[in-house]
Amino acid sequence: MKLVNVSVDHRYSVDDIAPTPWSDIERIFADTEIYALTTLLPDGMAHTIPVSGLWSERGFFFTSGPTEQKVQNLLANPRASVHVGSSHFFEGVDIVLRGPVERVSDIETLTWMRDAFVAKYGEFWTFGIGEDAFINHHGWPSWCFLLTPTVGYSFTRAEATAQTKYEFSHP
Amino acid sequence: MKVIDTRIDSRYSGPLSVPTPWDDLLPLLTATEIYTLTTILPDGMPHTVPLTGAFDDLGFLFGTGPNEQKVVNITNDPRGSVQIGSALFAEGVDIVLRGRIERVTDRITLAWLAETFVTKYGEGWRFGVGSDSLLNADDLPCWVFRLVPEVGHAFVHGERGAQTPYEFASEVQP
Repeated sequence: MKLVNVSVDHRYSVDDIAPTPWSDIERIFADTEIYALTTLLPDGMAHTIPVSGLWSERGFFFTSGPTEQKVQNLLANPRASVHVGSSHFFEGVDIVLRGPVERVSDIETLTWMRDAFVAKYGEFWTFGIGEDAFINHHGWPSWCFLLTPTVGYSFTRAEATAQTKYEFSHP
Repeated sequence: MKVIDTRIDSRYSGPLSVPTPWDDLLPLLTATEIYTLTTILPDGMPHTVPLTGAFDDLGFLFGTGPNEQKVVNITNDPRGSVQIGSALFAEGVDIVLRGRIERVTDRITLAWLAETFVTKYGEGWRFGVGSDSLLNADDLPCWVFRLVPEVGHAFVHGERGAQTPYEFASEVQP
């Protein structure tokens, strides 16, 4: 994932504002605890749920029981968006990233995810590692996924109002 | 919006959790300043934007320039969802309402929304009322839409974490 273009949409931004740097947005996104993940129901409707998650230079990682609705959605349509935001009118920033989602099942990535989840959320959020998935404290599998953004948007507020678009390329 | 069924989803709720009453959620929805609206792009991908809005008895009201992407999306597929949430792991609640989006052009609702916007967001958010839309400071039309919820979900975070689904009765417009 490589950032290839950053642009301000001047229709929705105050005059002469600079694009919000991706590094600022990336830090806010990485530090967020609860994300809103939107996948697509079989009838094409958006399905949004809160999830815990992790950010790395590869993209956004999350986990889900294999029978959950979001997994059914992703098996049929492997695209999604993830959003974090501020509910305040004058402060904060909204961030939306959109792209394809793939399952990750290699032990190296699962191990990194397990350690990163504990570091971020505490011992309460500990998973075991099975052959190709996490194992939760009931002994049930939890599948791991990676959303690789192709495009992202940030929406800043008040006198710094800017809508900035980020485009990413993939090797 | 009339709730016809409320049960907890025990798969995603703790042993001490109880269903979150719909009446507890309405004040949160009403007081929220910035909402998240998701519509469907013509290619089927979700399109999510932050926006201002207000709740009336029938659903979630919002305004938009007629040329904006969300209007293109709604014209193509009039379904969407509105979400508010908490970014914190151990506290807060996420609420997602899903339903159909329809344009609102009656002057009573437009006038109510214009007044509500000024009260809620201040003088910078003052609109005039035109024949079938709001009018912004440059006298350009701002179309008004209402998302009428069909289903909703609340996700309470923390020790008493609970996932509560809500079904809404379809109501006939007055």
